Amino acid sequence: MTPSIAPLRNVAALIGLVERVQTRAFGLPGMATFYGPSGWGKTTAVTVAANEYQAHVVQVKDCWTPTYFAQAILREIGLTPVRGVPAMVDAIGAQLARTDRPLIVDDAQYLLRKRMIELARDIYESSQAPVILVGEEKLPQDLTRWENIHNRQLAWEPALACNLSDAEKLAPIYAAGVDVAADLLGAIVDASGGSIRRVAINLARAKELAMGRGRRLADLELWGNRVFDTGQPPAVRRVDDFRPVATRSADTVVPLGPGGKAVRA
Amino acid sequence: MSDLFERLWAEVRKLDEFDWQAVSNLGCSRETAVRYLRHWRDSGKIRLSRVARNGKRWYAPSDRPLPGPQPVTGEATPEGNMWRAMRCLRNSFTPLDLAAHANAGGVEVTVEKARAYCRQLLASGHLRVLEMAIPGRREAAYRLIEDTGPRAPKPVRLAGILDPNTGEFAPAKGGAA
Repeated sequence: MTPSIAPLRNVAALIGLVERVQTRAFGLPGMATFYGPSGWGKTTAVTVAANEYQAHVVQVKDCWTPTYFAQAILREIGLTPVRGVPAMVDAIGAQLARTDRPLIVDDAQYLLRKRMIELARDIYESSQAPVILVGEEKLPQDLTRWENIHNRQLAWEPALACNLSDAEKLAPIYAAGVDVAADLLGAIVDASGGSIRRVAINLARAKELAMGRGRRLADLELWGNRVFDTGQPPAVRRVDDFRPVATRSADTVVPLGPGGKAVRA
Repeated sequence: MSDLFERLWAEVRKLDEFDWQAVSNLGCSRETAVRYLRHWRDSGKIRLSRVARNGKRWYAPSDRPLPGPQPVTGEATPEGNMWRAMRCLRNSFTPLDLAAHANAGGVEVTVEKARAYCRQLLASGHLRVLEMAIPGRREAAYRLIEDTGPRAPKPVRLAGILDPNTGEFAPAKGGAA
């Protein structure tokens, strides 16, 4: 079995974006942005697109500095370290220009801090190779602060939430050997909040459940009242719900007499 | 420049890689070797090729290709695609995830091939098992714990001599079989 998630809408969108940038006409800018909320399968799309084009992928972290960013790209390309950021940018630019392989920068929203985004622009300028920024929903808006980078964007492509048609493509992969009924598939898509990963996890659980019961069909009846993987934190439990309720019998109530004092028997 | 300088440069430019000791062995003192190396480096004739673990600097003539690992090739291979998928999905992935993400760029990766690759990398200490497999029902889940770089680790068969008395393995000339 050779499963592939390339037909998913999100994956196809990023592959199409890389293709557009790589085959752009002479004189057009060579940077592009793929953006969307966290958990919508951007990294999944990056993985497949990188395998499709043999792209270099760098996942930026919050704590990175410009020097570390340049070193990470150098390492990813497989070049020996050189001293100084300018020399590193030159070496990266020369190698990317030679191979014309795309550079995909995941979690690019972290580049906006510590002036690392300027470094990404320098790398693009010295190589003219495709540079794809992948980041959170606000990334295109935040990039408007740097006009020289905003102007170099060929296209802005939004990530798409996983819908029923995507789930139908994932079912034969993650629930192979089991027929997933439309009612269960719909419920999984609704509960997964647009995340490809969560749809895949829920499908795998449905398969495990059906296989364990010896059934070929997984439907909502089989799923029962099990909880879907929604990515939401568990609901807050009230401590009072777990306390035994003290029942107060009538004889423990002492009636008060005139003057507010208890009447003794 | 002196005759010694010219003679040493004529010898050194034939070498693939050298340190100050190699220059000194050609017939000069340590101080002279270090001074000449600095001069050649500043004039761009040689460049630093690597720094050894003990801090020793190795140089190479500037017109030679860099020794050691070369830039990552753009050739698509099943191991390369699976390794890239592992590095992107590093926290948790199953062989099914790997196969689904690695089937791209004209490379075909079956689930069986992904399972075998995961088992090999588990044995080499690159992966850790997060969740055990239940045959026929659930795939094993792994985590990448040794991300050694962009080049994919790949299984090779080594030919050589193993001495059971000492436990030493001497690879046969020519390397992998």
